[in-house]
Amino acid sequence: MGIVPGDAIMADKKTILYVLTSGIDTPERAYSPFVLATTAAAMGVDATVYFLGRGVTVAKTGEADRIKLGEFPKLSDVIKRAVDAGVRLMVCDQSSQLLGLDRGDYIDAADVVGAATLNDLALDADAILSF
Amino acid sequence: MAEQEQKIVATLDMTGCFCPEPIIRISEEIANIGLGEIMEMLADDPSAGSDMKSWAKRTGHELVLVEESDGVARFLVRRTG
Repeated sequence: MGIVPGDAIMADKKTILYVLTSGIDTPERAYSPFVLATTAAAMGVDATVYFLGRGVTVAKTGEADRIKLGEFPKLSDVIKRAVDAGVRLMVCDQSSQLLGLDRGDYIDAADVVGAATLNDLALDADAILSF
Repeated sequence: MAEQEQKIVATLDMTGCFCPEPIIRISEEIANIGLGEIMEMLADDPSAGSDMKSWAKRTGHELVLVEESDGVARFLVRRTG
């Protein structure tokens, strides 16, 4: 359904799952899920960002501190803002092993979870966006 | 003066700010006014018009007026919940 101007009927609480599979080597892809998720929270939508595959590198402690693009704040600040807005962060630690990366210490806000959790989130979500 | 203009209790000037700042800020600030009261927001981000309609649709707050003058959009939003 498209956007209906003036439609003030509040929809049921929706959920969006953002899956980040891009890592710190493609920082321009890493901003989007957090900006969108923060905005989703402001819209009354439950938002979760799941770090999968190379995406787990973004959740490693200190990595997002080193990323800053253009006029945007540091990626770590964008992530913090998302967390402060109520966005949940989940990280697949096994992804590091899969890619031969050092398994990581992750930012405090991220919970280490498994594949079943991602599948469950996907089945429950109203929309899934992958970056 | 229209009734809705009389109920404006706060103004949020977001001119010079870009997406998603206006949406984030009004979602924070509207919690500080009473139910039924109206917040005014000014924004010159070209995406603000579309985003405000979507935001209002999802949150249930009522977008009672949108008007534009010299590239600055003015929104009046009634807090509903």
